[in-house]
Amino acid sequence: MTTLEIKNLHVQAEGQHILKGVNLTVSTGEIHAIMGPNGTGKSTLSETIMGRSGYQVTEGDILLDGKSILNWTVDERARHGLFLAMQYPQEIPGITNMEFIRAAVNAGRPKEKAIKVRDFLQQLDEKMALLKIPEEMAERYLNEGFSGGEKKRNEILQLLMLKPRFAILDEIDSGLDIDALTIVAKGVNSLRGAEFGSLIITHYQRLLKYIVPDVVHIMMGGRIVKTGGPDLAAELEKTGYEGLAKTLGLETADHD
Amino acid sequence: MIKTRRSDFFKRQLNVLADLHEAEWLTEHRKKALSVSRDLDWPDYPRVLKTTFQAISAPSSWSLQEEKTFLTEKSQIRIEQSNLSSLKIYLPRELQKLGVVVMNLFEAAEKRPDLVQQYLQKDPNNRLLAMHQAYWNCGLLIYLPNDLHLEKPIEISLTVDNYASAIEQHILFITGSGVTATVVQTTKSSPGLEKVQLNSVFDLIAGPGSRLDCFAVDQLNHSKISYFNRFSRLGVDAEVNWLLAEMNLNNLVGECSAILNGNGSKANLRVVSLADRKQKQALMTKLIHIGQHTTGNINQRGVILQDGRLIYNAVGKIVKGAHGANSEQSSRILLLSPTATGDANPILLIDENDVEAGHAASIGRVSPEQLYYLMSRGLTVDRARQLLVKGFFDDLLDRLPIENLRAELDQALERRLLTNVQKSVS
Repeated sequence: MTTLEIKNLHVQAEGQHILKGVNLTVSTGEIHAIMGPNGTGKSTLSETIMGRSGYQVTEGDILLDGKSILNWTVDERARHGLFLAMQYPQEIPGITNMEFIRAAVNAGRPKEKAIKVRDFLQQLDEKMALLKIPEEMAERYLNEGFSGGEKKRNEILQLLMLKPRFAILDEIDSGLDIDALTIVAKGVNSLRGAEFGSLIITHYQRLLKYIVPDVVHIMMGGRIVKTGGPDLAAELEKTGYEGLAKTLGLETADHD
Repeated sequence: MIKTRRSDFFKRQLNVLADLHEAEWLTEHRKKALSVSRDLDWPDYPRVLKTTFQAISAPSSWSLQEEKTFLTEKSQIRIEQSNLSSLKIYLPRELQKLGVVVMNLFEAAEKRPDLVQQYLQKDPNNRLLAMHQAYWNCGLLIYLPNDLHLEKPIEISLTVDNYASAIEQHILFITGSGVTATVVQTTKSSPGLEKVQLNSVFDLIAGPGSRLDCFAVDQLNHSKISYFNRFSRLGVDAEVNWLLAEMNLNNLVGECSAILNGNGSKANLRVVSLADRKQKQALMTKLIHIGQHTTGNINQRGVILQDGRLIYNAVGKIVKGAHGANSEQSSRILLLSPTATGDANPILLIDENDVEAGHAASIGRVSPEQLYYLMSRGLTVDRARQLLVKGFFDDLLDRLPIENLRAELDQALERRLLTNVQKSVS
């Protein structure tokens, strides 16, 4: 079992104090959901875990199996099994999707153990079929000209090919219709197991009907304000964030 | 204009020319070029110092030691030159029967003056070209007769790996009408050849309705600056597509131009280049629209690392009377170090009204967002940069018709990017 531990995490970005003491522990075998209103620091949390520049940790720590990862570069974190399915995947003309995914798969392996082309293609075919991604998308340039839904599916394709220990899915459901949502959920669920943990960041309960989390956290104002089981998401759907804030005696964090 | 005073140097040069055992008209041609050269200025390339050119034009010695033509049963034309010591021409017997000519240019000057005398450039417009005309010391005539369709690319290679004072190559490539062919010209030099001077001019005359795909891959590793010129003259409805891959380690002044004489003629000039360390590369691409309804496209991509400097000058000239011309150009430069410098100068000179012309030029750095995305999947920063550079060049390099050559370029590119990154870290 591997554990990703976030301890009293305070983060500044663009001079603003966004995360104000986040505590969270995810182990492989578990799926956690983080819900919360806009501007509450959910994406800041995921980008900070991945190590994006511009997010400054002012206090606290992020630990992978007890080791601090704060000094690790983005690629080191990835090679240690962290994966972030991005909200806005970059378009990179000139690099084909297939070429990129193969380079990424090999980045996690020692040179002499590079994946055989045939094995790679077989796996890629399989995963693409599972995600109902048309074959020609393998040959297209990375995300270039992809629709919003295609980009999200492509993120999940990378997830399935790289098989990380922890996947952070940052609003993977935004802009997806119900069919695409089912497919994306099917992809993520296929990874479920003792070797895989996930942190699903979402606004809505909708996605959580398809990927049922073990734990749900509510985030507001840069902190986790409530943690519960899957029914917490359903409860939130009824009361709304404002209602919840009232019960908890908090101010809504819309403008945070 | 008659010069009354000539320097001793110039006199000596004239004597050298007079001693050549070559077709008399050719010696006269050289003498004329030499004398004209004194009245001409160096080429006017924006942002390139004139002193650059003085280093380029060294008078050369003449001697091609060994030369052989092999008539083969295969279907491919291959020409291999090594230093000034040997020239091998492999010409399929079948093609020779059809009237294809592949010949050492000296020999051709005697045997086919009808072609050489007619097409060898006469009125150089700058000193550098004039000196080249006076001093070229090795070269080829390639002639493809009307309606010839060549399936296999013509391969022309020049390898310089040994001492040779100066190599001034001139290739005269002439096609009749309705010819289709692909040409791959590779030029290589080894590192450490301090005295080698290597210049080359490729002069292409595309007959009416011909279509020629030309690829030039230059991997020059010797130390002196080189001058390369690829020059095309197009007949009615002719189409010429050039791709230049400038993967040199030395300094370079390169020119690639198309004179769109014929109505309906088309030219694509594509350039891919990499400059690193303290390397300087200046590339001039030119489209001269003279005929009516001509189309020209320039597409240049450059990557600069370390203290490299790259200058792209792209000229689109539409003369009066070139109705319906379309001249487009795009130059993109990617900077991979804070000390790298690049220039992309679009120059449109338009003297006619009913024409279309456009240009796009951009100089950019790898975006941090793209790097982050690639690295978030585990790629090291080196590998991510490598992929981005490869991606930047790929859609142009993908057109190379010879796979081995493509793989060789990819490897060279990867090696250079890696060394560069390591150096910049330490």
